[in-house]
Amino acid sequence: MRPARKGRSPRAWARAGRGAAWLALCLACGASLAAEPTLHLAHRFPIPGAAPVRAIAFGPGGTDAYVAAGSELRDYRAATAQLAGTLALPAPVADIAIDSAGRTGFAVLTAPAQLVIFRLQPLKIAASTALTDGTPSALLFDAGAHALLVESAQAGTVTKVDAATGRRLASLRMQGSLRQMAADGRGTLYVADMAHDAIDVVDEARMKYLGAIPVAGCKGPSGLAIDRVGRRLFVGCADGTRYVVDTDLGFTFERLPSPLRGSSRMVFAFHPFGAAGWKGAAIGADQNGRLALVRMNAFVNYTAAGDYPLPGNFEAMALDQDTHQLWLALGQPSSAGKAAAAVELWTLGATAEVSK
Amino acid sequence: MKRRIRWSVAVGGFLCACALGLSTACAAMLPPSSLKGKTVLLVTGATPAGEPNDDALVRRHLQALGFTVKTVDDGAPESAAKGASLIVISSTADAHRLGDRYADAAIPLFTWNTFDYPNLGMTGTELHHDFGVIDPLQHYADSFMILYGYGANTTSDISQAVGLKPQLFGTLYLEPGDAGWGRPGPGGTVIADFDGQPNMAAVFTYERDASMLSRRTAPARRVGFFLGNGNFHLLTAVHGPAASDPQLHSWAIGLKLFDAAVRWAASPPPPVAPYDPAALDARLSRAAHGKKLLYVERVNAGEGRVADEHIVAHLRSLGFEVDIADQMEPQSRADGENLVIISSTCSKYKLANKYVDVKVPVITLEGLYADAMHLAGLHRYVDYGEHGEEKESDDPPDNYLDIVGAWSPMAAGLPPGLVEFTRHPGVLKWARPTPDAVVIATLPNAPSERAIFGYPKGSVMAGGFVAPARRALLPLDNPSYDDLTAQGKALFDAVVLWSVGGGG
Repeated sequence: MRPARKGRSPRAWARAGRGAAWLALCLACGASLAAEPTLHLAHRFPIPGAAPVRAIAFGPGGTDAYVAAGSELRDYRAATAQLAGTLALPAPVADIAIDSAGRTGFAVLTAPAQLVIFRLQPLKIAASTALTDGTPSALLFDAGAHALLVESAQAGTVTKVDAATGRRLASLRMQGSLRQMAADGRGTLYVADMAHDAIDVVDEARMKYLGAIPVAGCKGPSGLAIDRVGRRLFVGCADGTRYVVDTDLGFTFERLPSPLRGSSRMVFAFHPFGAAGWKGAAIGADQNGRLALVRMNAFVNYTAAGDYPLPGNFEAMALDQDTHQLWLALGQPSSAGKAAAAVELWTLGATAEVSK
Repeated sequence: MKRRIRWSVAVGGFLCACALGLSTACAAMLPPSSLKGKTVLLVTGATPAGEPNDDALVRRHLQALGFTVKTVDDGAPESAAKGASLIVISSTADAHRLGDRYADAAIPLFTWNTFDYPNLGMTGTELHHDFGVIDPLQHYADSFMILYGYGANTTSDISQAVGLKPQLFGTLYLEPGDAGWGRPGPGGTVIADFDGQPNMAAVFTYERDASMLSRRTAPARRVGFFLGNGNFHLLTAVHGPAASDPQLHSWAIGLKLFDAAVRWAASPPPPVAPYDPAALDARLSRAAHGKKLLYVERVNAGEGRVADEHIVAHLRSLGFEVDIADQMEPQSRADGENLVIISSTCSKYKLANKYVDVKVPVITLEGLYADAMHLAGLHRYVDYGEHGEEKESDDPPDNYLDIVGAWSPMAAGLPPGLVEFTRHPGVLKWARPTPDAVVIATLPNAPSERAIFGYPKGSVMAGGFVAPARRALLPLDNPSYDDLTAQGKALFDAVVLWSVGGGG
């Protein structure tokens, strides 16, 4: 890597231009600023087809990234962004999840609603089963609790499925408007509830609703990520404010503004950058194409750490805990103002300060 | 000259129901719904750019409680409080600029402006001794200490509303931050403290007419709270599944404590019957009717025998059915009684811990029995002692008491300040009770030497002993009863009345 050029923030590189020029600039200024993360653009490449990217997930060790768009699943080598394989699915994908230990992937499909279990190497469908609790909107594999959870925002349900067979184990009808899910790995599921400005808490083992954590001041929570070590929830709200919640107490103790607006998604990685006091980062992105970071300084100390306009509409995002790579899918609006005509995939990686 | 602002209490029906303070319900706080529409004057100041300031959150929170909030800065004149039901002073206000502007306001006041405590007469004036602010820059280690409060008082309205227990609780969420403490005056009530030290009160109150510092009395309710500029949002609370855990429920009570203290401040104080010995005797007669009283004495004592006879005669004249027990008789003599009075003719040695745990109220006239009764700690002449006893006290005899809890029915309607207790100087006992005691009088010029006080049932007394029923100390040395002034007799009657459950 070339030495960092000081004095220019990542926000500045994002403003500086688009396309190839933007790429060159970012590579040149893998900035090492004390107050902001040292993100740099590692790859940028198009995804063929007109369908928007619905989900991205990393495979074991972060060596592969799986990208779902339309009815296709694509396997990319994370280091080179080279396509390693594709898998045709019988219906459009709503979300995917990976069981790294089991080297298995899961995809929930719409129209008809179903769950597909697939092998990662080689990429191959192993089983599929119909979903009967509404059109799926999100999928989460909680490796710690070995629970596969399917959310249907349309039906207001969360369904627990046997990860080995796809068999429906239990379903819980919720009262709110369900958005992103997060699990603590110890058997508790959290679901952002936009309707009640709260986070719903579910016991995964019994599929029992345990209560709601109100997020004081938050309107329309949609993005949700968890730090399983620090037991923190990062909540993205409709006005862009990010809140940090102590899951043990259900207590909101940090409030950080951002320019994000509307529905958002949130991801978190512990010690993703390490340098300059970064202990972790929660990254949020909204539909309007903005990215905003929360810097974890300590388990009780977080600061807003920059935001970045993205040259496209945000579609999907994944952050790998092992490699600290952030993959973002951005839709490119056509000149006629129609739906995304081209999709590009960006990878934002950490600096060389991160050791694997 | 400062204009005294009168607080009109628009709770006529409530007061009627509490006629003359005979109902314990009178001391209860207003329900939360009653706060709606009351006006709060929120006094704030500026903080440097980038520094935390939660005043806007506080304002929204007060509005959420139902208050109409009028915000002014620390330069606003005292008249800004006109029409307000409560003055709230933030620590962001400049205490030097505020001065004593609201000190005389007959409007309840709730403040977390620690440096303003002395201006308001709520503490003494010496920084680090009478009050202090801990901040993470200058007192980094201590700034973790303030995350933990201790439930000093369990029986006050605020304590009851919160379910405060004599144990640690979380004040603020885990971030080290600013917090203030104060050392209230003799009429103050320490609700919660830091480090288990009541002299480092985190939350303390003054009832209206309670004695503060420098002979100042509270013109209306006063509350000191521990917050700093930017940590209101960190007041602890628990939500979600954790809220059903009883330990966590009792731990994360910072915000509940704030709310309860605000509500208490905005509630009307209990009405106090004016000083009227005849009316007091009449109330006591009504209360005494049909009640049995055990008077424990050293039968046929030399000094004090006549006084004991006169006390018993007085109690019988009021309507009590008085039984007399010698100090050597077993505690079972208290079975079936409604009240026990221990005469100062008794020998603490011979009493041998009797009547400590009886489940009926006990009045101790012998101050040196304070340790055994758990009225105070065990350190003689430190936790309890006496003035005027030859060879046993450095202090001269005295015949005055300083009324510091004029608001309590135990004060017999006497005004704050010195009152002639006996006609002639004599022996006066004192003790240092825990913060759960209601303190009525101290010895003159000795504000920490409490002469008359009472523990409500359930109080945490010295050594963690929980009061099985009301307990009171009234310092009436052997022959002193016959030397009591009219005010002294009224205090005697008022303490008896309170002990048998009358007078709140």
